[in-house]
Amino acid sequence: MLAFLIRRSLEGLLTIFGLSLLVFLSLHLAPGDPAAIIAGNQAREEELVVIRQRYGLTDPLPVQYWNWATRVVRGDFGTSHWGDRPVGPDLARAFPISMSLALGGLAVAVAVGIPAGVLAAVRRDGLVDLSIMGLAVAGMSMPVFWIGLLAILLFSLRLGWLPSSGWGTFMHAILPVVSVSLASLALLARMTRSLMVELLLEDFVRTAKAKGLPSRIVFYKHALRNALPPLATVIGLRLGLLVGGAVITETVFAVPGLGRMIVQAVNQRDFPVVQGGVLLIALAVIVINVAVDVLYLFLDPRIRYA
Amino acid sequence: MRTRRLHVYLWLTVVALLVLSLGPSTRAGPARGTKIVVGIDTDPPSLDGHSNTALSSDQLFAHLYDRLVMFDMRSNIVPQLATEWSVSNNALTWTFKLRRGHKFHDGTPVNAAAVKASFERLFDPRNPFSRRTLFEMIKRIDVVDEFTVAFSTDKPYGAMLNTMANPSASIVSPTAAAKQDVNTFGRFPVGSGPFFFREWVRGTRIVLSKNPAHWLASQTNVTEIEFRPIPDDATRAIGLETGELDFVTTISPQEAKRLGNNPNLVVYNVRVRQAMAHAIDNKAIVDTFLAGFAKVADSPLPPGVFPYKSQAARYNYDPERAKRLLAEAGYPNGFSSSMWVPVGTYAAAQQISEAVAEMLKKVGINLKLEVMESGQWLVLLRSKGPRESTLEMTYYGWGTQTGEADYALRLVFHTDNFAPACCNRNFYSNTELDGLLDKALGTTNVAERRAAYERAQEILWRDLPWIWIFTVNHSAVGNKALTGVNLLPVELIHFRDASIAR
Repeated sequence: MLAFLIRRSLEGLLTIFGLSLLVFLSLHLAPGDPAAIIAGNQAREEELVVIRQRYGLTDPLPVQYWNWATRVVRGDFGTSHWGDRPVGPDLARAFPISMSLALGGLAVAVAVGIPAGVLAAVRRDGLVDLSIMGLAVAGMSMPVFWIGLLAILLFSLRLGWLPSSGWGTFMHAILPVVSVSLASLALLARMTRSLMVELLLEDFVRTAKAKGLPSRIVFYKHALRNALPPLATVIGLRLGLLVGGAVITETVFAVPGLGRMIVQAVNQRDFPVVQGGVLLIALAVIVINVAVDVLYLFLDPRIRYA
Repeated sequence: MRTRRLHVYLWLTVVALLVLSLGPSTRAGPARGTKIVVGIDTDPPSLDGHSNTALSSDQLFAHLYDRLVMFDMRSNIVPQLATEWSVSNNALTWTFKLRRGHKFHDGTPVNAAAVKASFERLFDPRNPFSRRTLFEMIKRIDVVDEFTVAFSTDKPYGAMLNTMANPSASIVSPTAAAKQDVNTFGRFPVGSGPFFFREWVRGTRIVLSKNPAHWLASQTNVTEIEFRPIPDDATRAIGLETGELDFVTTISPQEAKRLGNNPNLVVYNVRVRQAMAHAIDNKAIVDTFLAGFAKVADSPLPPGVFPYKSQAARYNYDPERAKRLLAEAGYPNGFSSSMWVPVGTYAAAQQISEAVAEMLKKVGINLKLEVMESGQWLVLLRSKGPRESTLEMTYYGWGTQTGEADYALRLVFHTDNFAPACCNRNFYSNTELDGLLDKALGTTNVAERRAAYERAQEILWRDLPWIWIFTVNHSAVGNKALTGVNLLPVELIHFRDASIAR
């Protein structure tokens, strides 16, 4: 187990190194000069020269990468080109926001999606099944920016229950969390249903029913238990996706998270912010994946890691 | 029986979510007295009055800081920290008399020494202030007496007052600026403006409180301004409808409406450019894509910029005339060219460009649109001199930070400003125009400046180095209860005289 964790950590470090190199290169090789963007289209060439020198943009690329990487290892994420501020504190502020959006969204997806899937499987081909699966298809197909705006129109403008944008209180979190959860919720409901439909035909389920166990115990303790490992994989993957992929939700609801920060930074060619932000997301995804692997041990006792 | 339990469990979850969403405080439209909340599109990079070129920062400067002089809504120069000013007979020295008894938010008195220190900070090459080039004509600053400060130039500088009125001429507290590095000052700014800095939560809000000691304090009943960055156009507009916002500083025209071969050589031929101007239906573009929140251009200068003059000659939509002009120019069958279209800089750039391409196609000009991301576009635009430039046409916009013709014309049309040095990127060169621009800049006589710029506008309108399509109305939307908001032609909005009725 310990050997497994060590091996995975080393793999993770290697992944992060490769990724940081990739991000660095794609940013620096893409067209667009940060100095030109900082100075604007009305600036003169000599102002650009000053800006490039200030942020070390005239150094050769390997030198720039080395300077950046050695500073990051020491915990210094550098200075943003846009506003000349240290990147670290901004990342530290945005990261927990994105994490809580992702975790909140996932919690809603699990709490609603899995029971809905079980219910659909139990009522297979009935009206309940059809309506749940219909909603699930709709949930997976509707783009977040659209459903987000509809939710704002209904809950903020028409009903006046919730704030239309911003972040900070529980009320602010509800619309973005629910919007971000919908696709995962729908996916989990569909997966749970198809897994459960198969499992409910298994011999052990019939045995459990035959010996007179209440159906709640049969469904949740016996059948669902066996559906958990594949569900855990999907949940882990979705969480990874949610941490980095909430960009649109963050934009629509003006949530000051990491995704929105990175997109803005890409437009401004604010290299240190993009590099630092992507690094954090990569780290989070890797940690989540390892956690899911460890979770397997508890969900399926047959699994052993050498 | 068995499924009922599941049913109940499922519904409990859903109900729990609904109950959560019904939570404690309900109505989003708040009671907040005389505090106003303004929706802006992006968080500014810095609040340092000298710092940068972002409109999102400039917007806040007029509230945090004072300048020697400022623009009113018609771009006239009005007194601020300076109550009166004069220029020496040789037109080389500008003397400003300062308001007495005014203080910065940290208690430092506003006097001639403070003004001098503020500009010296702006000019210091060690500080990352790219707008210092706007002030490069100023060679010396003298403290004449406690409340008199003089700026000297080597050559007469006609745009001195306009330069002093632009946002980068903000006067910062010398005490606070000396104590902190530029970075910290940008987060905790200290000026002498009608509002002082209270709080900045990145990406969420910037809060300013009224400065009761400011001479404008009696003009406004607004006690607090919160600027809230909301990137999405639709969300910002809804915030206004729900009452969460009192004002939005930028709004898409659609939202506003709802609430309310070698082509380079070709275009050197003035007839071809005039033909293109006649082939483009400016009014249709304004009505269709800008929902009327723009005005068809009728001069190289927009209304509100000194000394705008509406041109008698008009390039009406007239495809037949366009074809005739093309034929006269030697292109009876039209030609092909390309146009760069930046995405993310100008409202509806792509749609408008597509419409322009469609209109030009009708007279035989085939335009290939190269849609690109703004960052890439900026580099392509600025990096190349006349020999290397690959620019054929581009969708373009130009804002005039100083509210007068020098900034609007000299940077983009004077031969000295050929790219890559500055911003004449289509390499228009006309010695008569160069002479007029130099003359107007080198004199402080208003009548002479006006005459020179009026002639310059005629020349440009005839030569069409750019085809001017429209002037955007800077549109913003606010709650009816909020009055006295000033929209300046230089794209900025001031809440200095605002009042809110609640």
